[in-house]
Amino acid sequence: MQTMLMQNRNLIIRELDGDVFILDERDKRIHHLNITASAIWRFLETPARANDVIAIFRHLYPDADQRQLKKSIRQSLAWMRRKDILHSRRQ
Amino acid sequence: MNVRFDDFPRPVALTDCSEVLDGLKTVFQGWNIRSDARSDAPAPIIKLSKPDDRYLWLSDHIKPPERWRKNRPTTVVSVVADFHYKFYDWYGLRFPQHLCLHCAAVEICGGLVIFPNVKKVGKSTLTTRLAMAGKRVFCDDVLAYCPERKQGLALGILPRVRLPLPDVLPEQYKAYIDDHIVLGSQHYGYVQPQDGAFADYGQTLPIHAVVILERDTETETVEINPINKAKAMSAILHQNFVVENSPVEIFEQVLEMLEPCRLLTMRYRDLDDAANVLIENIEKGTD
Repeated sequence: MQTMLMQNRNLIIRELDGDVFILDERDKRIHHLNITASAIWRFLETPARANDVIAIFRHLYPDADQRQLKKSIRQSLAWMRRKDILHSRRQ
Repeated sequence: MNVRFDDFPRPVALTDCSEVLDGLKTVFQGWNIRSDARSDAPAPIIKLSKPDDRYLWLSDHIKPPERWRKNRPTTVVSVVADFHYKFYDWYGLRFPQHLCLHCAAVEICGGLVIFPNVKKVGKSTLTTRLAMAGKRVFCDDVLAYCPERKQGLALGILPRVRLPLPDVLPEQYKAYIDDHIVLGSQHYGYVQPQDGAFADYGQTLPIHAVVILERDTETETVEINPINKAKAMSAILHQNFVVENSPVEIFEQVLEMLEPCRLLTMRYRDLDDAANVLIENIEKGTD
């Protein structure tokens, strides 16, 4: 069993100057995703595991502090799940 | 006694606290606040009274700030300040088609320059400093925005500064504030700018610039730099607290509002320098 993360398809997306804004009509909220969260959002157009997200970021940013990068992605994923921007499914 | 504000059918009831009316008239300007003697008047939206040595706030729709549960205020200025704070909820209920933008707004060169709310950047201080320079203040806290007319609308609520003022502020500014506080406590004061430097309720102007303020105690100069729409959008939406409307609608309305605006950040340390450079920059129309 593994947890797959995916975009919440019920949300409305607007992109502005490369930034992602999530418009949630149910909660009447607007979220502005930071650069990390925006990249995660785009990557999770195809469902993937948290470790896959970390791996692709490590590949994209090989010179970054890898511990900090992992922490930052974990935090972003947790925030996005908490805000119902991402869904998860066990499979 | 029931009192009415222009454009609001429901009155506010004041029982055994007529002194609050003077405070409201001082702080809310252009609202034509007056006694409501209508026999067919709708029920008051808020009932304020003073049954003992403390004020009491009753309302089904506009709840008082949380602290009223345990520690009801004893002074007029506290009641007026809390009413001011909650007034925006009432306004949002009455005019759901308007956006309530959490920002300060000042007229420079025939258009509004707005400063989206960012904590502890001295928004009210800069606003009142611009008033001292003769610029007309629309608000230091909340600006209504009418998407249909594409204009910012003054709510006529006086700017309010925290007291005591920090020692580092210019002496001339501190003297100006001392001279213009019309209602206050040891913690804050409402400032009545001189004639022509404050917009009463209902005054409107288009928004010409959005300036995100950044206080920097290290910098020696005032830096004004352009920003993109996303950063301006984020600063404005983060503070837009009318949440009954559709987020998609709000996003589109703000995007349309931003379209003709200059979008800037201003990093500064010195208040006088910031006011002078900003005015010069907006008047010249250069980034």
